[in-house]
Amino acid sequence: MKKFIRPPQIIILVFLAVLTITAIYLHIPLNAMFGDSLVRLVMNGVLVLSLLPMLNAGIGLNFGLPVGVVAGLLGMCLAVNYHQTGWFGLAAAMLFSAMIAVVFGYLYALLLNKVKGREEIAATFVGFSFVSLMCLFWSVAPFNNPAMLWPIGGKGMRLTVGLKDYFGKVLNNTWQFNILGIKISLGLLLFFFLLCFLVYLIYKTKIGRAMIAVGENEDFARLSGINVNRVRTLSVIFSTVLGALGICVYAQSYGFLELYTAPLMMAFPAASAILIGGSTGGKTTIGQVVLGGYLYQAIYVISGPVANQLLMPEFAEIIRMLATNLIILYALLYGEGLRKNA
Amino acid sequence: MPQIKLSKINKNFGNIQVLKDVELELEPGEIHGLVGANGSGKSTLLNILFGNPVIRNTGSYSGSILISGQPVQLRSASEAVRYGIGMIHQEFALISGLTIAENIKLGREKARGITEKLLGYDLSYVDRESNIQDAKAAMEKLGMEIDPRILVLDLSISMKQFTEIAREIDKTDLKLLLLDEPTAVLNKEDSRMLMDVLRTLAQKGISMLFVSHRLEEIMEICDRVTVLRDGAVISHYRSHEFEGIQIAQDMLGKEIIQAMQKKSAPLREPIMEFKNFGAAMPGERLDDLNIEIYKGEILGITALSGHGKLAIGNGVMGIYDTWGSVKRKGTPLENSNIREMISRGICFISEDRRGKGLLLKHSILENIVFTAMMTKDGFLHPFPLSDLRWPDRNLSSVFAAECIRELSIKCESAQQKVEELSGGNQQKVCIARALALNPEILFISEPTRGIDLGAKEIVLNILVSLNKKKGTTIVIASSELDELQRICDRIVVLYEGRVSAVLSPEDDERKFALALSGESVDQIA
Amino acid sequence: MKKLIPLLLSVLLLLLAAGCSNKVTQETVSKKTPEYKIGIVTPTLSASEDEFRGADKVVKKYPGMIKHLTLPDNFESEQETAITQIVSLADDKDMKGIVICAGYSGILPAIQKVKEKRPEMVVITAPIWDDPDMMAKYIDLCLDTDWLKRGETIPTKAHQMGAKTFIHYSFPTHMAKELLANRRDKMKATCEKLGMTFVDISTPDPFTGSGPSPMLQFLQEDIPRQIAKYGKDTCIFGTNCPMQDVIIAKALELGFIMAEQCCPTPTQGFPAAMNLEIKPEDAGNFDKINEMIKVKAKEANETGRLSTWPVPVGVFFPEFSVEVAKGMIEGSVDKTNMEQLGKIAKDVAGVDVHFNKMKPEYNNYYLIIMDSIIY
Repeated sequence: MKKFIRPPQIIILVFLAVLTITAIYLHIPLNAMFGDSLVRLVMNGVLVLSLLPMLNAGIGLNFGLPVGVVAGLLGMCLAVNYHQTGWFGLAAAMLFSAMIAVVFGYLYALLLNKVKGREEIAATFVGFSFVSLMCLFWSVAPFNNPAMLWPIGGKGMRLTVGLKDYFGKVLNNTWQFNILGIKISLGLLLFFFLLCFLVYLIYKTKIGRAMIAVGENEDFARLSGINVNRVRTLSVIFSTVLGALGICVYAQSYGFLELYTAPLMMAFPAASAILIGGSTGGKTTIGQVVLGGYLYQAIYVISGPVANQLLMPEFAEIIRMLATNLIILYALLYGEGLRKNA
Repeated sequence: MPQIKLSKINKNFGNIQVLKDVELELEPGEIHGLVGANGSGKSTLLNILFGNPVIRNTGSYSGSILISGQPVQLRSASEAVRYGIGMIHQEFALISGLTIAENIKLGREKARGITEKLLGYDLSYVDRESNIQDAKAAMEKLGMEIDPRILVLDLSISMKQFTEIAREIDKTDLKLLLLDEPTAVLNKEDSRMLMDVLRTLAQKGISMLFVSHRLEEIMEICDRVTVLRDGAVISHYRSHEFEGIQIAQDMLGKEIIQAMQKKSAPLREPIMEFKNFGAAMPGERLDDLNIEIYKGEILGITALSGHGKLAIGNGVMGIYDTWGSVKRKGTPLENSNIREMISRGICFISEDRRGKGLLLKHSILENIVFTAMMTKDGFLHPFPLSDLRWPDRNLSSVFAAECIRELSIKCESAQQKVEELSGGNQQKVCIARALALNPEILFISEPTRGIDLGAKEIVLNILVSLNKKKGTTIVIASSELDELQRICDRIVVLYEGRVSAVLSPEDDERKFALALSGESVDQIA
Repeated sequence: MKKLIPLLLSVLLLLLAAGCSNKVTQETVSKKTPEYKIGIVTPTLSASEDEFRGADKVVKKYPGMIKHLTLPDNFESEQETAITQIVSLADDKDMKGIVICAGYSGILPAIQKVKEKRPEMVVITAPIWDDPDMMAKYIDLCLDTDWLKRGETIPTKAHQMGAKTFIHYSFPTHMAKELLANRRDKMKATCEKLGMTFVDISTPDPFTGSGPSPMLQFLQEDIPRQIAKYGKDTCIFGTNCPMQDVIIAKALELGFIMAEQCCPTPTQGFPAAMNLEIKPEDAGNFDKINEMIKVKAKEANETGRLSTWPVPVGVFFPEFSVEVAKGMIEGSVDKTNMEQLGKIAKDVAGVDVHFNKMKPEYNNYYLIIMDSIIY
């Protein structure tokens, strides 16, 4: 625990506590917000989790997350196109997504292995250009479910596709119950923690150990008989598949598929969250993922209503942005300091 | 007046006091030896003198420092440089993407006169040629003939050390030079060359604080010696009072037992053959190696630095491009495939311990079992998919505990992180990792480099007993000829990347000297 | 791994191939030779569907007569290309009119060049966003939506639909824009006049790094809170396009009022929120789409609580402008006659369209407000 909670996390916790106390003072119902924050944790948590494999393999923050996200969107589009609904629809979407993500991840890894040492910046550009490329694809995508097509032209995909009649909120509505006015989606939480546990288990296996070793010291790993490029490739595929599953969870909770430029910025909130969780851009733990994911989202959940009641609304938004971004910057600086003094 | 005078220097890292009331003074032109075992506080003292930020970040020091009678506060390295203090680091402070010349002249580049007058020094046009000339001259002072346009990353470790030294002696206003183990990575010949340079510098009035593990060097070059133990000054000696054993005992507080191999006639059964073998290791090129390794022997490989001894182990493992052929018991080896090497009983421990030999952030246990786990599926629970097998905690902790006991690795527990261990214990972990693979042939490079006296003997003993008890064939590449002479069955001497002679450890010292310098040993009967 | 990849690839291809089995067949267009041509300039499909499809519709209406040009996708950085494209239209001797529906600033120089070369060329913009005085001087007819006036019409419509509270969702980047801030103030004033509560709520800003997701998540959480506080008779208005999906979806769920989206059209928000299955043959058929929305609104018990303009201005403007340009070239339409314009507009839109002068002194710069459809 000592290793877990460091000054950046303490500052955020204090910030969160101040917000919570203000919320109580302003009579904003906290129980609903707590429920919302849990939903948000899972909604975004899988995307945050998807950064972990690449961080652990020393490839850095996956700013190319849009690659995985697009794979997920494609998978879901396929499921919607074939009118798959309910649990089966989500499962089908996830299966399609994972399959596409394996292919995308493999190609993405080929590229990243060619730019060793500059992966983060390369990934950023891969992400951006891939999203643009996909914009072209979406506008001519050969899907034929009329619920997905442009309402005027009748060809190409809409900007957003509603999932309500397919598999929207499937996870959210599983085993949902109210306790003390807090709406808890047990299914959603269980799914997330199961996925976390699965990732944790993978890092306990031989290939998982190899991934971590490659991240820490490539030369050592190579001398230990590890095929470094293969391990890196697997890590990138792993990240991409998790990213694809992440957007499935996100979209089912949000209730809409967002196509075109929507995935463009997806990597940044996830990266912010993992940094707030205490990752320093190197080996990262599941604990840091969950902590960071929760803190980042909880601040969003509480700060909005509090700030709207407390101050001039526009001013509130600026303050919130300033505070979260400064904290991320501080977390980065603090992490950097730790690395240097080590 | 002394050039520099330290009094009552105290320094704590957290609760641990690493320096206690240290007193030290240096006359102009004096070479002052500073000796002590690892962790005795030598490096900390040097860090204080060179204004290393680590000192300030951990709560600074107490006590006073006088330079030429003036009290000074050394808060940063640039301040130290302004007072005329230069430092040669144990871990190189060089920029590997720049050339030798650029490193030597960094921050002090010669500029073209007109541009300097017009634009000021910061924006002036650097006179590349004259900088290269300066750098060349500085390297030549050290007896090194090398093109200063070569990138530092392409240099061998010893050549990097010379570059670092050249950078310091190129400074004209140098008053005090701090040398932190300057010879640790150099062989005897190179060390001697350095000694001569240092003596010339001393005659020009530059004082030097010389930190080294090699007592013979200290005794040879220093005017005075201060012995540190556990952060306190134990004794001072003047040159006429020097006595190796006394100083060594002051350092360790105990007596030293030297490792020794009782020679037995090795079987002449080749288990590995090199034919026209070569490896393109930068700065350590090896060519035309034709040799057979016999089963159960300890084979030493020595050479001056830059003459190719490190290229054998690295080459066999395919870290660098190689040519020629290697046969293992008659069948050729595909030497770029490390997995195959390991599966055929060949193991390599790199000279770059921290860079290639260890996972510093992992525990001792994980380091020890890692390679066996990856290549031989050792210490894993059975599962159909090899990639998804998971570690068997019992097996690995039993083995780790055994290694810690057998190799006397000093640690809190098998869970301690390797980066917290001293150099000697890190080397033992490397050897334990090799043991987990149960190799038939072990290639080990510079096994005793940068570790203290006591630990050196333990490491050598481990190698000897490994050879005796398990019959492991060991190939040691080392620049410490006396150590090789004590434990090897045969010693291969290389010169300019080619075999100069294969000698027996009992051979005449003069033969070794000739072989090292590339002369024919037949001159001596 | 190596074996798995080709396998996966082929499965994917198969799925995609199955997906595109029914491709839209291209209609063959009967060729008539017209005496003159009209050029129409819009953004690309991905930048703005409405204008693009609107122009497409006119191309089909008058085969062989209309030349449809699209501006570069990133207009700001390729302004030079855009200008060259527009000016090149004037090289064609048969080209007698140019209609520009782009919603960008910086197109005026191109029009000036066209006018230098061909002073008789009829140029209609619907809209472009350059300096109004200059525009009125050089352009034959300038059209735009009356964005500011909507600050009055939307709350008034909401009031008629039974709203007691009016919630305005926006964020700093939008509120820094003069027009949007003024419209908000106007909405507030109108609400006060009509005795409605005006609530101003700031959402996370979609233009500052993290994209629209935090904003949309905030809306999903905040709307139920506000409805719990103010009750069902609340009208919610959001200033940003992506918000409309959430607002309409929540309206179906919670039963509040949505009087108008930021861009009033049946094709924004409704299709995604209601999962409208618009078949390719019905695409662009607004009567049909409006009918579908009515059915869905009834299913959700929201009859009379959702409203918008029956045709998007983006689709309306190209067709309307071409009709006007045609009339002007043929001499049958007087651009200063607002009554005449209104009649053409009603034919195109199917509802009444109100024209207002941008400034009293201009007789060639009009702002429009369309009558609404209430589902």
